Amino acid sequence: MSNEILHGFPSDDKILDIVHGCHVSYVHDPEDNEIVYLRVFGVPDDEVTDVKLRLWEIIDTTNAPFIPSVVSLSDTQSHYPHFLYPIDFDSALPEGLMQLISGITEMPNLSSTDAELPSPSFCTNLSPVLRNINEVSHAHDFRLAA
Amino acid sequence: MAAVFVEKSEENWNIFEQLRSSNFFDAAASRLYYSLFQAVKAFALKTGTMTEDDSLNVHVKAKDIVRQNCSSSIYHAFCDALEMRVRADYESRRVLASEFSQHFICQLDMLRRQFVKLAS
Repeated sequence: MSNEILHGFPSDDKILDIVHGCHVSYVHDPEDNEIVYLRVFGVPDDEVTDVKLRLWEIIDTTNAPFIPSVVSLSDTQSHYPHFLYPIDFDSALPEGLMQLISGITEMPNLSSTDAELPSPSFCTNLSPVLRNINEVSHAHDFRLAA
Repeated sequence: MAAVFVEKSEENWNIFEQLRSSNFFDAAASRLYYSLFQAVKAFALKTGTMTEDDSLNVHVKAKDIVRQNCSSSIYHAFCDALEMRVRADYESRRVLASEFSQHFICQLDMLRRQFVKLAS
């Protein structure tokens, strides 16, 4: 990754890749290091909800510690105008992110305090996409025992 | 001890509503999350899954308790509130009024009320 990409990026974020023009990074919760926010900056405004739902689908099928955080293109450009412009976004963005997540979940040191930026090879040698998504539905919102 | 956190949760929820109606959305997001967290903590104290002295990974524990006891949509809403709190307290990007949708707040109010009820 070049310093040019890092310019203007939230300081604590660790950049993972650029997927269809969207910057993908992760950052640990400042108060609880075991919580990791997977952040996608630059998603077209009308795709934010769809991308977030797709991210939850894949995260829910894994034991990944991620919480997805999707930032719209207009919000990204207004807050981080120097580093991101859409490159070649198309409808394949969610698929690209799913591939990325399936690779990320195999990182053994992601939740450690000194997690390192993945090597560029990591971004190009992704494991197969986890496609068997089981949608879990619940009859009730809560199943707490009284 | 759980009763104290129930009171704190109620207080923070009221403060959240006041801040939101006054257009202080970053502060509102912070109080909103901690109102939820305190309700979950009250439940955890009562059931013995958390102690008052717990300070390590408490937000992970709260997240896991919500995941184990609530539907996926409620769990996702709780995680959204957690993410908003981090942004509100640590980042330059502001929390916006549009992020407090009625559906989102209703989900979180349900969550809070359920945990408060079980902790009381």
